[in-house]
Amino acid sequence: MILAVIETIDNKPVPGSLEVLGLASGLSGETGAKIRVVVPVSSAKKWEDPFREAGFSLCLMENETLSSYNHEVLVQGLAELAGSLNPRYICFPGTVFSGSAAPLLASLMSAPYIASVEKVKKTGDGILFTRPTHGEKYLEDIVTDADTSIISARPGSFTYKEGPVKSGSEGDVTVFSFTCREKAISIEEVKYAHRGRSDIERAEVIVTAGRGAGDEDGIIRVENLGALFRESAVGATRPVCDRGLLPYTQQVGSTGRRVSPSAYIACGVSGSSQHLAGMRESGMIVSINSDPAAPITAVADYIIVEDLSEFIPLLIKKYRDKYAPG
Amino acid sequence: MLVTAQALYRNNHIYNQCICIDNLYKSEIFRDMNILVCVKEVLAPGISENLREAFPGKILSHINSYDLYGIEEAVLLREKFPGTGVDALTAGYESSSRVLRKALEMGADNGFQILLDDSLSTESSHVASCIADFISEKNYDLVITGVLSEDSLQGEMGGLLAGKLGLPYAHSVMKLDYQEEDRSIHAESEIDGGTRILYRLTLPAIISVQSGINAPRYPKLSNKLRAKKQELVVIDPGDREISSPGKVRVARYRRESSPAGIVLQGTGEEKAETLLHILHEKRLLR
Repeated sequence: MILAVIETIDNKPVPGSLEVLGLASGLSGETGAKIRVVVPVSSAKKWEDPFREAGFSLCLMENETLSSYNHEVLVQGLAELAGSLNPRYICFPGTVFSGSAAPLLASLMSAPYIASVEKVKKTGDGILFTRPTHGEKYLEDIVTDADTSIISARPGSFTYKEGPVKSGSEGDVTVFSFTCREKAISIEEVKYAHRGRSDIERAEVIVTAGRGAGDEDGIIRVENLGALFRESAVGATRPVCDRGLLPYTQQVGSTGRRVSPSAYIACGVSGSSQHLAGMRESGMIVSINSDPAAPITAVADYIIVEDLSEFIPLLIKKYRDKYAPG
Repeated sequence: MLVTAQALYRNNHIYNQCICIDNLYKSEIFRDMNILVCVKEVLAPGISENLREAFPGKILSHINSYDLYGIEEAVLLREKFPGTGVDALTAGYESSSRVLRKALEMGADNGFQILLDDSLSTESSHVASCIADFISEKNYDLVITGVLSEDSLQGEMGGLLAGKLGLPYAHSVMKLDYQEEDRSIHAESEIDGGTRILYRLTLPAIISVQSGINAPRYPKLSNKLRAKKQELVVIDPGDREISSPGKVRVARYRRESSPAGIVLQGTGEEKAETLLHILHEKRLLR
């Protein structure tokens, strides 16, 4: 059996966490094992099943503190549930919150943890889990021989599309209630970052500065490039925001904003999975980068291998010569 | 005596002249709060201790950049709460002493190195067991790790330690406040979409810090000189049994980033013209 743990907030699924169903479906396809979707809820009565048509069998894991992000309680419940169901795999999405729960569970259960898996494949050695290492420039293949293994998805590598995954009858729903031991953490507040749409979510074109864009001068170059478009905004990768070069409100990626403009122009962006998860749905992706092997080339429609400090001024000059209005 | 030593220590001017008091203070009995920062030496792929011997003097590793934020956060806490002691720990090959020096340069009081060899012992579950043993012997109030290591990309050490030690854990922390009165911390974890969860954890506790929580300092020259001379405490994990991690790497290879799209050819000028043409055709240009 495969347990697929989705995330919920106030008894509703967190959309980004449904990628775990894609991972579990892939794993089920390779192993033939059945999937049970674990849904943390504060009360089973409050769950309105959005997957009724999908044919998954559900386990509503019920505890009054599970209406919010409490990994401590979640993990206690999962360990107890796993003790009775004895699953071969427990799958998590590639979200940050699940990144706190999965290793904790692995540690409690003395189970191996294989994080950020982007591919599963059956071979003679068993199931091969492929995951990135070393700045995502390398891949490794892992096999596991444990009774239970904890697996998490690489953000953006698996998708769950709305609608039936398997045709046929509705899946069964079971309820698993548990009481947890004394709690050492408490949630004081949940602060939502981005209520309402921001400029970068509205823009037709996003020009994004990555680490390779350079320092302050590099950011100005990227901003100047943005000025060539009718409706544009400047985006940033996490390292650029960490360095204080642009504000976090302009960060694109899984912990920033998820965007899908008509055109996304990535300047000096290497393309971490967290960044790709936030922009891969863009209409057209252009990468300008001096590194021809940057992971972003795997999703870009047009790849330009050039030094930004020379290429952007050149591009602006050519634009002025030929296209500039008036 | 104890009070005087602390008061003296807090005065930076006198501290510079009182090395003996400094050493006294490094002992944990003089501290109000004990912090341990875990730091990791990140190796280029495929580098093992043997290969490193073949390239003497060549720098093939660096400190995990996420751990710099951990050291900085601990040092910031000590600046705010002067009774705080900051230790740095690494588990790795002999060469990992370099990353401990970096932690000392940034302001850690002591450096501890758990020596591992090339075999299975660098597997994360074993490393976590060794570090957990160290922590339980030392009575730390707060253990800080980086959210991720750049080589393994597992993002697991904080969670593994919390599970082994049964301590409360907050992951991907972007803001940290210590409440002296009830010995707890408020930690803001950043999750997807930039949402922050404010957790309250009673100490002792473990957190992992996300990049951007602070701006790691560049060490002062005087700190660099001090760090160079300071002795590290080397810990041999001895014949601690290595339990099977339950997983094995069967291959590692460079990612084939076969470009999905079109690689523009020609001179820079030609590429610029092609790109402008595409953008113009899509009516995106001003």
